[in-house]
Amino acid sequence: MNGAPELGQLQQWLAFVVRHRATADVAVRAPAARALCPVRDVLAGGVVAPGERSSVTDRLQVYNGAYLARLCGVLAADYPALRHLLGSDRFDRLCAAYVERHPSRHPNLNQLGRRLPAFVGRRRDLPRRAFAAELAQLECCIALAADAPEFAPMPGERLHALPAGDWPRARLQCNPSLQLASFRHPVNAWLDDVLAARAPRAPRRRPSQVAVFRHGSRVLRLDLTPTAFAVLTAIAAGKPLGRALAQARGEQTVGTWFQDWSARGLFVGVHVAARR
Amino acid sequence: MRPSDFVTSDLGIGLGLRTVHYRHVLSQRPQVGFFEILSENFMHTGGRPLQVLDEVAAHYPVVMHGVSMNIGSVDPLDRAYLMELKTLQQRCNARWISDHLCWTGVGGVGLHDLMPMPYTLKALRHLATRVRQVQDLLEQPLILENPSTYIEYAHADFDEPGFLQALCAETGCGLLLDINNVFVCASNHGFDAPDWLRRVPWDHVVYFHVAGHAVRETHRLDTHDQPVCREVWQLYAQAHRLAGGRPTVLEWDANIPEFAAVHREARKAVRYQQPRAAASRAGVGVRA
Repeated sequence: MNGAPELGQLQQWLAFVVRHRATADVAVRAPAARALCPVRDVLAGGVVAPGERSSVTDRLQVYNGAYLARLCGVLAADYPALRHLLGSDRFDRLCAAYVERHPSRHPNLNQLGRRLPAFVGRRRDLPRRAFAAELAQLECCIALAADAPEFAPMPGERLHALPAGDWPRARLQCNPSLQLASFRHPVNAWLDDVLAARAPRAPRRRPSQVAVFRHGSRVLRLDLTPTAFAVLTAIAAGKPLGRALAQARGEQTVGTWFQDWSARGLFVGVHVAARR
Repeated sequence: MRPSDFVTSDLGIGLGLRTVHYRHVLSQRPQVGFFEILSENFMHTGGRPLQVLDEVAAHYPVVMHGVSMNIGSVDPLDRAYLMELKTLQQRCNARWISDHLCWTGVGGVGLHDLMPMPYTLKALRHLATRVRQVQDLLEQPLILENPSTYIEYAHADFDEPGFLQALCAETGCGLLLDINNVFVCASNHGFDAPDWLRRVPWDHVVYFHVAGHAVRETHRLDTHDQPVCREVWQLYAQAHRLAGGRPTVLEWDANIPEFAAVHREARKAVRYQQPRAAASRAGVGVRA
């Protein structure tokens, strides 16, 4: 190579080498790397200087090795139960494939794992794939709730003070951390077992519904009945209470639900449309 | 505001604020000169980190230290990110904003690592233009840290101190001098650390970092996972003497012990700030 490579060329080459799933030694020989910096120049120290005790590729390997380790560590922190389910080796392989397909494009690493549930759902090589995808979805809900924008919960008295005649037209605004998810497996119970260091039960099909939300500074997970889930989903979608509660006709515990939800700060506001 | 304005703010000995210490800091209010926050930990979230930050900022001076500005990249500057930095600074009344003299991604993909810049004239011009743009946007001098590096490029027009001098002269930016990184780089690349320190543009140095590192077979790795080694403290003594005193932050990011142990380690800095200690302990050469 005659002279220094252009800065952009140098950065693209180095980024390719760092992100390569194999080692730096393999990466510098890949066609995409050679197109940016000829391998002969690279190995001769024409791009990166060799060290006294290490070759050019040894030095590059420090960055190559750190890249996957760092990103896998971030995903492991966000998806501890998925890692428990798959085992650390399989989880690390999954992460390597994931970051190759969905590299980080955000300054903040807390966004890195947001596409992992869908990615898991598409991986035919994973055992218990359907369960794993749902478990990942639940853990993603937790991360989303933790990082949701700030909010001020609505005092419960405001709901109590709502005239009975206004209830059917009232629309409740849910706190922005609320994530609602329905599953074909009892993933929330499974997650509880993992977090409590209990041996989780073997994954079996049994529908479940979960609300995940932030209460104060804590993220809570609430198992819901199918009816309560339908009501809360309708409320979160902005439907007036009259329509939302139509799905709970005959249900005796509706009042208790609302007391509980309100006490847990699930609502931040109420809007009553003017009568026509 | 010029870097020298920052230099006058003697905040003493500070600590990097870490999640595992939140409870202790909030409940015990330990005597710490200031806290340095990792900016990105408090961005794109409205949860507990911000609540903690509000409380910490109510009782301690805070400074911001980031890892994602990507100042050296050929990618366009991320203006949304910069505006969020500014918003965060206003929220916690941070004294200054720092990041690293490096690039962290290209082509829109983040490596989340501190990739070294080539010390060429072209790179200097590129970096200087972007530093000025950031300073215009943030309306204050940007403070940049010398990173630990594990490669050196084959082509260079400067060595690292020369590059720092030129960048500071062109942009008026400030420097966060990481003493551990100087030592790690000196070991990895075979230069003389005390000599490196003597060539620092001291008028631009705003504060110091100290940290622990790991020794691998072929290199030293900036791990922030153990106490500061004696050689780094000795370099710190020299730097403190040359600078005439600067605020100092201890970074501890992995295998983090209880708060008291981290605090104790940080307070060792006071010992090395004594003129006698500095004079007798300075001048330890580091060779690969």
